[in-house]
Amino acid sequence: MSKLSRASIYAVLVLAALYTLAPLWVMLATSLKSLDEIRDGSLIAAPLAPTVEPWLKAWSSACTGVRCEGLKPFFWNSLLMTIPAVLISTFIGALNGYVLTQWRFRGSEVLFTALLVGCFIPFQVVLLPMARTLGMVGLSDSIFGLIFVHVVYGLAFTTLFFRNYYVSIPQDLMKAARVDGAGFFTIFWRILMPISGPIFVVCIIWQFTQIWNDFLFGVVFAGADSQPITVALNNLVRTSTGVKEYNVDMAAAIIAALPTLFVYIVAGKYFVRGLTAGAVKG
Amino acid sequence: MTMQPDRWLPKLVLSPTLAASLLFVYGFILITVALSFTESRLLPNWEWAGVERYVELFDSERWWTSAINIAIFGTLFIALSMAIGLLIAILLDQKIRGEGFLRAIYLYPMALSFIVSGTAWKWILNPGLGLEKLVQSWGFPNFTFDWLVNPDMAIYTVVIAGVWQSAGFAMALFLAGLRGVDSEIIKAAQVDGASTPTIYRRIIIPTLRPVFFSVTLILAHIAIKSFDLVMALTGGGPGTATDVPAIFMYQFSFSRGQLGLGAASAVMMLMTVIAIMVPLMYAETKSSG
Amino acid sequence: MANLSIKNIRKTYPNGVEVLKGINLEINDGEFLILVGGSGCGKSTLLNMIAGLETVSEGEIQIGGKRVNDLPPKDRDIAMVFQSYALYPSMSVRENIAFGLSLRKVPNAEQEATIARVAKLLQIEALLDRRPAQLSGGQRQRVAMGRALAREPQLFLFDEPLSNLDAKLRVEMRAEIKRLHKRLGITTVYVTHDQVEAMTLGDKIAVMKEGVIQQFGTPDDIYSKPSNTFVATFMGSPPMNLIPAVVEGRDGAGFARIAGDENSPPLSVPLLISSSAIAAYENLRVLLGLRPEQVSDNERPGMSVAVELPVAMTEVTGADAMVFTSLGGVEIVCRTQPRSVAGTDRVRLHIDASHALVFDASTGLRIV
Repeated sequence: MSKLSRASIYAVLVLAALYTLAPLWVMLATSLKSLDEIRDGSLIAAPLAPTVEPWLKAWSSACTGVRCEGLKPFFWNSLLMTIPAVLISTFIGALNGYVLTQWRFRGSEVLFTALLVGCFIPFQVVLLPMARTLGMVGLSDSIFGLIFVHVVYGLAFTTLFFRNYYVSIPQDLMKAARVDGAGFFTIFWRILMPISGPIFVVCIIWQFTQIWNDFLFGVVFAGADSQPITVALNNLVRTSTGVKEYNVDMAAAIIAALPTLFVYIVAGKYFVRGLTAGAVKG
Repeated sequence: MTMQPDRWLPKLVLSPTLAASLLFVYGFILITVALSFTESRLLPNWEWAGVERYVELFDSERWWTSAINIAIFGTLFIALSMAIGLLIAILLDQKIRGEGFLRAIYLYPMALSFIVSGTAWKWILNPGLGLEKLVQSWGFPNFTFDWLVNPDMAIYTVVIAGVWQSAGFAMALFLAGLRGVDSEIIKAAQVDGASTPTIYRRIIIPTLRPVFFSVTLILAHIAIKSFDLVMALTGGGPGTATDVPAIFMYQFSFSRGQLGLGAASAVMMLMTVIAIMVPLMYAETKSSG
Repeated sequence: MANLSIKNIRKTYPNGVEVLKGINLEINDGEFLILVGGSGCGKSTLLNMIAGLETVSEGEIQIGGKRVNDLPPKDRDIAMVFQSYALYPSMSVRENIAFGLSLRKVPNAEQEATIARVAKLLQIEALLDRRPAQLSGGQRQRVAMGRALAREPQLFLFDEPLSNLDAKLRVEMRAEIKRLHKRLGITTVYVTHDQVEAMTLGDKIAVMKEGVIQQFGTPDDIYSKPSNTFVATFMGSPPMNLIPAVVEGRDGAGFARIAGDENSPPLSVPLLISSSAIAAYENLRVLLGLRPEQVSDNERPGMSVAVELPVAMTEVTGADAMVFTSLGGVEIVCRTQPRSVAGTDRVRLHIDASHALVFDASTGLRIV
């Protein structure tokens, strides 16, 4: 290949990378500028006089609808919702995957296929009955309700992940353990768990990203006090009291994105693996 | 005969998930379908209404705006994400230095919530202070870019933001597919005297068929569920110019107290998903098996 | 002390496929039983049923005189070695060997003693703290055997344990298994598709095909008196030659008459059969079974027929040369000495008729 065509390949790739990074840069730069600087300066210029004021406001005093306590309470809501939902759905998914691969029974493949449908449906088609059900059992407007919904609709994916991982484990391993005298749970804890590290990471990261970033369930099922951060961010941006504070909006957007960005940066490899693993079947 | 726990334990362990799936997926779909044939307004009302809600839906101009918008958005979003994703994947496949780093950059938007990226693009595409002002300051004082507030063009801003977020994902899947192509086939083609573009066009891309299939499937899925992005970017506006079925469903079900109509729109969304997925999967399983 | 008795075992899968169609086997305490057959013959299914890893559809399995049909594997006092070794990947060699002991709540000191004994027996002392991933194929094989030996079971089960090893290691480990069996005297069931393993290891061999035992007997029986053409061609390498012929009685003696063709002259091979058998089988179309070593350049006294045949191809394997030629319209293989076929295109061969077998051509069953 000629030097020229190689150079143009690099040029295209670098331009594409810059384009991908541009919104993040604009968000970051804007979040550190004063409103005056935003009005007078350029969209992509670095802040001349960086200020953390917008960040502080976004975190603790910006208005999200009628409340003006910033994103802080909603950040904790999101954490309180995401962590249990991720752990529960991952753990159940692991057990399901274990049963579906190592303890197959008549009809288990059919059940798995039926379960997979949960990955495909647009959730709009379950929203109304679910809202009603949560209301009836007294879980509407609560974080517990959100945890429940995320677990229920996350199970199809977590089961898929573990099933696809465990399916490559040779049947002989199970047989050897059974001959050695191990039962259902002993095999799971002592034989499978120690080799499931990677898939747990993949699944936890996937579920964390999905649940943290969810907006639909949050906006439909959460009450004013249990809103996750995505809903609060949207409210914050839409609440206009006088001057539009773009810098605060951007700081808030970055705050909402930080946990998932952080996970992506420290464990990007597993994140990509989750994306592609989910894509194989889903 | 002794009771062996290993005979029933596996089924017991699986049963909560099955029950949940049966009730909360299949059962709830049935309830929604049932609801769409009733007189329900603010509260569920199980009085049979036949296809009235669907007649109402198809008479609604707002529904048709949503349907046309999802068609425009879906088509462009899928086509552009795939085209850009494939191009970048092929370029990255040319033994590029810093590939891992570049790949990480292309993919980070997938880690963001659509609400976050919608918020960011809303600011960037803001006609007063955003991109328009930037280009004007570069010496094009007459440059205008007001798509975000122009009812005819606003849906395309959703496409811009959506493609920005998802093209990297398509790239990752295509790249994984490219890496999976048997290198001996490529060597054989090289020995046969094929040029690099020919090898890609005639040999590699055709073997990526299953990847095209899954990329289409996932992007279509993202497109149909598109709710967060539109909510954050345009809120369905200006007016109702960027309404999509997901927003229509949300508005009529939860803001306007039209449960029956909301349910009917949700059923239509499910039908659309089935209408797209089933032929795609059928074609794929038929060709592969 | 355990004998193994398998009575009229059947296995039918839910989809209606019958993989075992009435199996009967009986071996004494300390015997080494081989289950041999091609893939899909049901040998591994049978082994899994003995282990309790698959349910029994019909029939009875007894270990040491006790019905075990409904016992889970752990209560059958068995140990098993797998084709893929199935070592627990997250555990060290030591932990692999101790796993079954610890599940049975064997005291620690006793576990240590067992590990030391087994490690010494199999010469894996140096490997005890390694993980399976750090071991070579042969070492994994030894550890898998060690794990099975740790418990001193009543019954030892092997599922094609050597088929993942290279040829040299396979021969070594085969000898090792034989030595261990001699020393420990534990009743053993061993599944393989390799007829050399079957012949060298087994006290008893059950040759299986399509869920049915074709023949059950000692290696010598199986080799020299195969009950049908399947067993005859399955056991032995190169396989037994089966030459179409017709039974003929002449002057009170029986012959197998082989028709001539463009390569070979017509031939009558004398058969060791009684006059009543001659009468019964006269003019029956049969297959004459001759092992390659029974058609050789080595002239033996007694019942021998000489014939000169064209050489299609020879394969020199070292001590022997395999001559490919044809007789009675089928290709046959003969075992000769390399020097007698070097550079010739015709070879004079002697058919040793004293051990010739005769199979009914229509049923495949041996009649002589």
